[in-house]
Amino acid sequence: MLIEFDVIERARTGDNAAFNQVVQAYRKRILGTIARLIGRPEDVEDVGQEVFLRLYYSLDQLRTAEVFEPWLYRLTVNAAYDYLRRQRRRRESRMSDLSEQQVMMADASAGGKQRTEEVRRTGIRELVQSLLGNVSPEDQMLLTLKEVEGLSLKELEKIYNINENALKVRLFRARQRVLKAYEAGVAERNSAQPSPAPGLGDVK
Amino acid sequence: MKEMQNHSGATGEHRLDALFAQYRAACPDQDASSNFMPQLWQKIDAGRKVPAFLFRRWAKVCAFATAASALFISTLLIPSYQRGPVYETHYVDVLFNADSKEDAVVLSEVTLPRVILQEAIAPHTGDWE
Repeated sequence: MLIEFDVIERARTGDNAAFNQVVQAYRKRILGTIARLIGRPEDVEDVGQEVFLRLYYSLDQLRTAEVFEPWLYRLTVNAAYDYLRRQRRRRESRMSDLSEQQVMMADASAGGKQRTEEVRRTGIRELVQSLLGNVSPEDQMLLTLKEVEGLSLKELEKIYNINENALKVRLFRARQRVLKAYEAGVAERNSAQPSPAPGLGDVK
Repeated sequence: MKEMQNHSGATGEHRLDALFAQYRAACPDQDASSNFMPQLWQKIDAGRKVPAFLFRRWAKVCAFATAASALFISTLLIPSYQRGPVYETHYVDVLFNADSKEDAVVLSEVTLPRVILQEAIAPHTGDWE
């Protein structure tokens, strides 16, 4: 816990100063999680504010302060999910798109002078988001929380209220789909360009 | 062949793990801008105002709808109450006052065979043979 239980309790009873403390304690972590869940830095603050807004209006429903963190994560996941659902265009994960990003990454990694670090990061973000576009927004969230955020199955169980075996099955299927899309992208890249290039197929 | 597939699968898994790790590094924890908290409180305040505003608006809409429906119903019902009764005399009186001569003429013109008239007048026995 990043904050004392009594601060959460005070925030629950309507103490605005305590609520400010809660926001300030968790803000950075939540914004980071949102950034990785939605992959668009420009919208992270809006989604973050939505999370804390929901927190403010539902804090009185929190049973005990002990379950605060999973609960906050659940609010975060829900807000990010809503955002993705709004934003999600029915983009088929076209491998041509991946190839463009791959080229961009290759350029970024090869010619560091020409491309900035931010361009490389943008390329990676777009590549991963494009790969994650092969699964439903729900599975995208789940996979990101597990693979990128590094949450354990126990933690995910608390957030989602689903039993561990069901989570494992869902995670496995989602990962396989992403892996399949990733390998298809690599294969397409290799067939289009005989000489191996860094980028999609050469992430180190 | 199978080993090769397994190997390529494992390589793909490793590469995907590495990609996720790169993605994590590409999206580091970031702190909010200085506007974050003021904007958040603005949204909270706006959220507090919304229910009261909505309630007032709904109350106005309901009041207007009630008044309009009352007016509409009254315009339909008041004229019908004000109109006089349709039948001012009893049914029997109407029959009594009716001109029976026309009926007699009509009946005299009908020349049906006696048998048919009897069959028509006689109650049906249910015997169809």
